[in-house]
Amino acid sequence: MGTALVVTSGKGGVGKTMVTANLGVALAELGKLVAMVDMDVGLRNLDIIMGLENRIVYDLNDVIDGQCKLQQALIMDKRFDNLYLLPAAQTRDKSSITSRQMRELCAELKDRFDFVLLDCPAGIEHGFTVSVAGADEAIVVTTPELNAVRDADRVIGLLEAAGHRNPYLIINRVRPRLVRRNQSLRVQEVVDILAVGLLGVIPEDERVVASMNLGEPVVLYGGEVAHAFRDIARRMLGEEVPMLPVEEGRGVLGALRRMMGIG
Amino acid sequence: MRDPGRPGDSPREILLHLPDGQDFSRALEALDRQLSGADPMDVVVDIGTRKLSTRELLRLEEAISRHGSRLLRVTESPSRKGGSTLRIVGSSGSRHREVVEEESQRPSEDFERTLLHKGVLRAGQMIKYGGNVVILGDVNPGAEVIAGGDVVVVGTVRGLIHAGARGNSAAIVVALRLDPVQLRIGRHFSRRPEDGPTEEGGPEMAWVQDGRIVVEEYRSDVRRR
Repeated sequence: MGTALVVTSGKGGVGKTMVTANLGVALAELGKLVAMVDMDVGLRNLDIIMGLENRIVYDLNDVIDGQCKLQQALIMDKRFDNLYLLPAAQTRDKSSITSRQMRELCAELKDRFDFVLLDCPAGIEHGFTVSVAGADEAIVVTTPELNAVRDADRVIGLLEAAGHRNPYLIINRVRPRLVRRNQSLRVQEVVDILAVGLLGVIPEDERVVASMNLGEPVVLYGGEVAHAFRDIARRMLGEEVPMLPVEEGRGVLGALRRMMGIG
Repeated sequence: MRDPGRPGDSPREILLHLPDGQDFSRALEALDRQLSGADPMDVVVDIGTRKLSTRELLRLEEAISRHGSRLLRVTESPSRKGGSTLRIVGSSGSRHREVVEEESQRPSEDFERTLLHKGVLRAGQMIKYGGNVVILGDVNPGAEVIAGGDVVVVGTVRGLIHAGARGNSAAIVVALRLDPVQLRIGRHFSRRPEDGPTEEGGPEMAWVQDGRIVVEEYRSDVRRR
C-alpha cells in the first residue's frame, strides 16, 4: 500500500508543478514506483514539463467517468519505467470530479504505486478540496515572499481542518543574494511563521525554467536544485539528510559551513 | 455520506437564533432575511427557551428550504440572560469561532468569561469572543482576534488583535512577542511601525495610556493600572 501526497500552495506560480515533477523523478531514481496525478483539470501543465504531452490518449476524467481503465490512462515516463503520469483533462472543469471519486481513485493508485503525487491546482476552492480528499499527507510549497507565506499559512489551516495535522513544507526559489541583503525572508523566518516541518529548501536557478521549457525535469541536469530534490526524496523515505545551506549561496564561506554541517 | 472532517464535501454550516420573546412570525422573517442571497447551507437553529409547535417547526423548515438550504437541527439553549453564546461556524473548512452577542444586562460580566484556543491561529482564521481570549500559539498575519475583554497570546502576534472590542479601553493585550499588523484596544488603534519590530525581549503588553496605545515590557502589576 503506497502513500498519496498532495502538493499544494494556495498561491499560484510558486512551483507546485515543478516540485511534483522533480519529486516524482527523484523518487523514481531511488527505485520507487511513482504516479503523478495532474489535478489541475482544465489547465493542465504537468504533462508539458515532463515532456509527455504528445503521449496523452486518455486522462483523469476518462478514468473517473469509466471511459477507460486506469491502466490505459497512465503514461509511462520516457526516462524511467517506474514513473507514471495521469494527466488532467484539458476540456473539462474542476467541478467534474468529486471528493469521493478522488478517494476511490487514490485507493486504486495506492494499491499499485509506492507514491502517488497529486499536483493540486492553485486556490482553495473545489479543486483544492478534491485534491486534498484523496491524500494521506500534504506537502505545502511556498517561496520566501510574504504573500506566498500568507497563502501557505491559510492552506495549512485548511489542511488542518481537513485532518492533515502535520503537513510538510518546501521553500522554493530561495535567493541567497537577497537574503544577504535582508531583502528576502529567511528560511528560518518562514518556518517560524508556518510552524510545520521543513522537508526541503530549493534555491532559485534559471535552469529550472529552461528545463521546464524543454520538458526535462531539472533533477536530470544535476546541480544544486537537483541535489535539493534528491535530498527531499531521501527524507521522504525516512533518511536523515541535513538541509543544504542554500542561503549561504556558493563561495568559500558556504562551502566551509557545508563541511561543518551548519545549515 | 457526509464526512464532517473534510471541507467542501458538505455545505457550510450556520447557526441562527430565534430570539426569545420575539413573535414567531417576526423571528422567521428575520431568519428569512439572513438567508436570502446566501449559498445553500446546513442551518442549525437555536430556539433559545422557546417552545415550537409542530406547525411552527414545519414553517421554519419551509422558510429554510426556500433558500435551497436545509434545516440540520434545532437546538435549545437555557436562559442566556447576561451571557454570550459561543458559536463555531465552519467556512470552507476553516475554523471561525464567533460569539453571538446577546443584549447583556450586566456587560461587565462578559469580560470575566475566557476562551482558550490551543494552536496557531492561521491566515483566514478568526476568533470573535465577548470575553477574554487566551491563545496558546501564534497569531499569524491574516488572522484576527476580536475580544470583548483582554487578549493573552502565549506566542508571537503578527496578525490583528482587537481587545476591549465593545469600547473597553481598559483592556490589555499581552503576548510573548508583539509584532501585530494592527492593534486595537477599545476605540484606539495603532499600526505596526514602519521601522519593523523591536528587538527580541521578554513578554510584552499593550494598553492605552493618555489616549494612545503603548507597548512595553510586561510587568506583573497589571491590576494597578
